[in-house]
Amino acid sequence: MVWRSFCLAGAALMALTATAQARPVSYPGGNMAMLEADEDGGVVELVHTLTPRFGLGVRSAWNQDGDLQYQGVVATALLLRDNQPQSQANVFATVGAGVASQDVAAIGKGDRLALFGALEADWETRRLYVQAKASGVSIDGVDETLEWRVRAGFAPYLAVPNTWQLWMIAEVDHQPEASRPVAFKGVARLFNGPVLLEASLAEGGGVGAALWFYF
Amino acid sequence: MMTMKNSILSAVALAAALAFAGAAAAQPLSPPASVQAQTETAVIRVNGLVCDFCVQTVKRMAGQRPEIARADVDLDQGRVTITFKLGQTLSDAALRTLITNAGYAVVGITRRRV
Repeated sequence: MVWRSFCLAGAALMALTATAQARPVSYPGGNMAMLEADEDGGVVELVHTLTPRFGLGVRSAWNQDGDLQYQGVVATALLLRDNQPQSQANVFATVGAGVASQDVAAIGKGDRLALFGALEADWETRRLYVQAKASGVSIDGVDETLEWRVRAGFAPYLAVPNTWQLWMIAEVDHQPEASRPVAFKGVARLFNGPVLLEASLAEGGGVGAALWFYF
Repeated sequence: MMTMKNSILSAVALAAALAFAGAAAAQPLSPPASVQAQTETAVIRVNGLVCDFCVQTVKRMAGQRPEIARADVDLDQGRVTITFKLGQTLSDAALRTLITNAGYAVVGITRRRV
């Protein structure tokens, strides 16, 4: 019964760990705090950048019903950065480990080791942005879930520094094991200095919001 | 006669004093080169500057160096202008390390002193 419950939970945890795009590795000594919530649940993450290419942090996630929680550590490495006069490209790898806790009245509480990993690549100019991300979750060998995500966006105007920059982004998520394997989402992003805000609307009507703060 | 002679001497002395004073005023009061402090700026052409976060990152990295008074980032020109504190500077290698650690690529550095 517990095994089955965690199988069902895998997809939910997958959604929790598949965060929207932001750069977790900033600069040595810098920190990134992130809060993201949608119809599936929420994620809180705090990452400290140790070197120009490596960050270490903690992550907490929960589903909407509150009966599935995850707490763990997360490490992100900037594998590649290509800087051009008008563009920048990055490849990030993220791995994490923690405890997924299921608390369902019918079966009681159970804890399982949860592992997740993600590989993402992005390319952006001041006007255009594309991102591809593959991520996976494994819960103590009883469930494994994969997801692919592609995003493409544009900036309708160029903001001067210290004013809000708007991005309009289209997102496609592919989660083979989900009841709806392919999902579309529209995202509006506002970016001003150390603050990044996102609001999303899924094709099914679900809404989401995210906040990043760099300090 | 004596009064006229004194008047002429006084006029000559006054003229000489005014001429000396004028010459002294024409010379700028400049300290020896060894103690003359200058403000230096370094203009760094940088690749990869695409967003406001890049501006924040470069400024915060520059703020960690005590030699730097301010850093200005021009996204349109892909240019970072570093203004050093009076009489202070950083080597090209140190500036390259600063920009590289911030995550960007240095194309070239030019300097000027004021």
